[in-house]
Amino acid sequence: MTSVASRAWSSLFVIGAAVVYVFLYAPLVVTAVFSFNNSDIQTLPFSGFTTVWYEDLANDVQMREALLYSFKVAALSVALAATLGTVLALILDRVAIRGKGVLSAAVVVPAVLPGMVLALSLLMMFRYIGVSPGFTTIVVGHMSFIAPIVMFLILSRLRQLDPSLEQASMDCGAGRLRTFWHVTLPSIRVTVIAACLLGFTLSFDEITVTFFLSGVQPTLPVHVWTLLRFGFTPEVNAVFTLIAAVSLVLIVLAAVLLSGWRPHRRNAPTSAPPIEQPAQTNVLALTYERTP
Amino acid sequence: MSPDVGSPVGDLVPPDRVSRSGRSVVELVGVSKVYPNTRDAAVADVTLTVEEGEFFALLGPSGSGKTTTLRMIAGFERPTVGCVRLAGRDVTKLPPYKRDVNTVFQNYALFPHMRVADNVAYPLKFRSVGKAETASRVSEALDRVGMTGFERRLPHQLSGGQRQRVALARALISRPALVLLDEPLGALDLKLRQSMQLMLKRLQREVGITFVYVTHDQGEALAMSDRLAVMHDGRIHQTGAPDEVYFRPKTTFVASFIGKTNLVDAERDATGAVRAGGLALRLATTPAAEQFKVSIRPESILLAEAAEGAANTFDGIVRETIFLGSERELIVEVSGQTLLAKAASNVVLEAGTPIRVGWPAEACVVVVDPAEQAP
Repeated sequence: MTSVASRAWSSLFVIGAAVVYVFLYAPLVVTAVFSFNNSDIQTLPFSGFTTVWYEDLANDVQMREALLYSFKVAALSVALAATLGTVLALILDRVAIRGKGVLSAAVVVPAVLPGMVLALSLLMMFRYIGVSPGFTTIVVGHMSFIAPIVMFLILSRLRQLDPSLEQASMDCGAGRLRTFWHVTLPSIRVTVIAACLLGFTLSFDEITVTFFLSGVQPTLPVHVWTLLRFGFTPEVNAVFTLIAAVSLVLIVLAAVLLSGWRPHRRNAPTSAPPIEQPAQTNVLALTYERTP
Repeated sequence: MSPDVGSPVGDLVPPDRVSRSGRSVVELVGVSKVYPNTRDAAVADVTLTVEEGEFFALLGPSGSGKTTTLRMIAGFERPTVGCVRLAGRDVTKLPPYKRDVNTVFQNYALFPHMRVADNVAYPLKFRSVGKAETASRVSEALDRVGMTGFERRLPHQLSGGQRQRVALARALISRPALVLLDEPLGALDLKLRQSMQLMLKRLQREVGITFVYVTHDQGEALAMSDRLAVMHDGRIHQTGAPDEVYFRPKTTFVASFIGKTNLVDAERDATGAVRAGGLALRLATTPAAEQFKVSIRPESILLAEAAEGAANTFDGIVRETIFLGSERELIVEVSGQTLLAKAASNVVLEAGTPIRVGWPAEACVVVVDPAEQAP
């Protein structure tokens, strides 16, 4: 009886989970499938496999320019956000200052603010100080919501670090900057890379802030959005599929890095070493005999 | 809020004995450390001098302030009050990287992303040392600690004892005036600990560098150090050579923390006679205090015929015997006092056997409890 009931429950659970996943991934799959469909209109049945939409994409000058522009925006805003985020994280973790809570809250605001509010306030600020919309404004806009994310990721990593490592470095004669360069930075390097990957996808996919702050040249998502207004071409399916694929790869990579995977087993326990093998003491005995 | 720096022990502990080499490597003068938001000082009015070439141990239970003291010498903590001098120079306000001191950390603190050779060479990076000399000094340092052949390993590929030795090589490579060791053997198992003790002692003799060694293990401190300071509740209770601290403890804490001892409450009357409960004690000197404790080490209590003729002889009854292998512990009752004594392991005494016990006048060491004397 119970086994039947529990089997019914577990199959219900499986079905429920499946429905959720279908909802989440069906649009992605549909888009990807239709990007290879040999037809101008998006209807079933599938009328044949083609890569013509991808070829169109490759030959579309506007699309290529938008893509390049998006890359430039993402690269610069991530580089700036990573620097700013790391510096802020170090300040919050290391420097004894009053009002740390206020400071960290103030940094988070741009990341949690609705995109439109952030975009409008930035736009107004730029107009006030006389910066016309364009590359600079988009980069600043993106940086303002990527930097807090980088900061929190690095801050949580810094808090895991063994403080005795930095002390050991200073003990060995390295000043604060050298200690940061030789010891702290290598210890947080993986987190910084992961945060940059995450920031890159965030910048690359962003529409709201970008839309308000862009000048003549649109980024890729904004350009695609403009295309949509004039009708749906399968070329859009192709570009969405590409964006989705690249984003997924970057996000998975970032997740793997952040989940604690390290090139070397960085968190190997140092405080509870394994019991020594007898061979170990022999090494010692040998050196003992060697020295007079 | 000013820290509590008045030292009841300070009056008891004479200034350090005249130096042996004449050159002090470390001097702490009236050093106290009060952490923010704490009431009691972690370190209270510590004054000590470590001579050149000495193996000096800071001994105390956890929370006694010995590690904080070490960290103030290294420069990781700044004293709230007092002055730290290295080789006669005031370094109280200098950061760690401007002090000619290297530390072996309790968890070794090897840089996980650097190979053994790079870890050991790290201190030379910041002292203009050429490539060739760095290489030869790294191999010399690794040879000294028996780690030749491990140059290319990463720290996580080493066992605890091996990491310990790499940390030691890193601390010695820049030939500092002083090496600080913070419970370096704490994480190792007993067998390895003992061989590492020998290695450390030999190494220190060979390189002639002053070692300041923090430990909570009294056996380790007695076995390894030339001199030691016993700390408790942030204060130094006694500083001296191991035998001096063992045989002539100054406070009840020192007497009971180092080895086993019998502590009996005693009082002196106007005539100078000392009584401990029902026992009339004969001491080598007349104590100044009226109320105090007397420490009598179990091994200085003589039994049966050997007890005859000692300055203090009493009749007692064996209450219990404990077989320890190499010796036997006896619990003897002497007119209401319970005393711990030691006998050879082949001596068989039944509980209830009457026995003569005695000890020389010098075996009675007057100790005081500084906490009770504090205002």
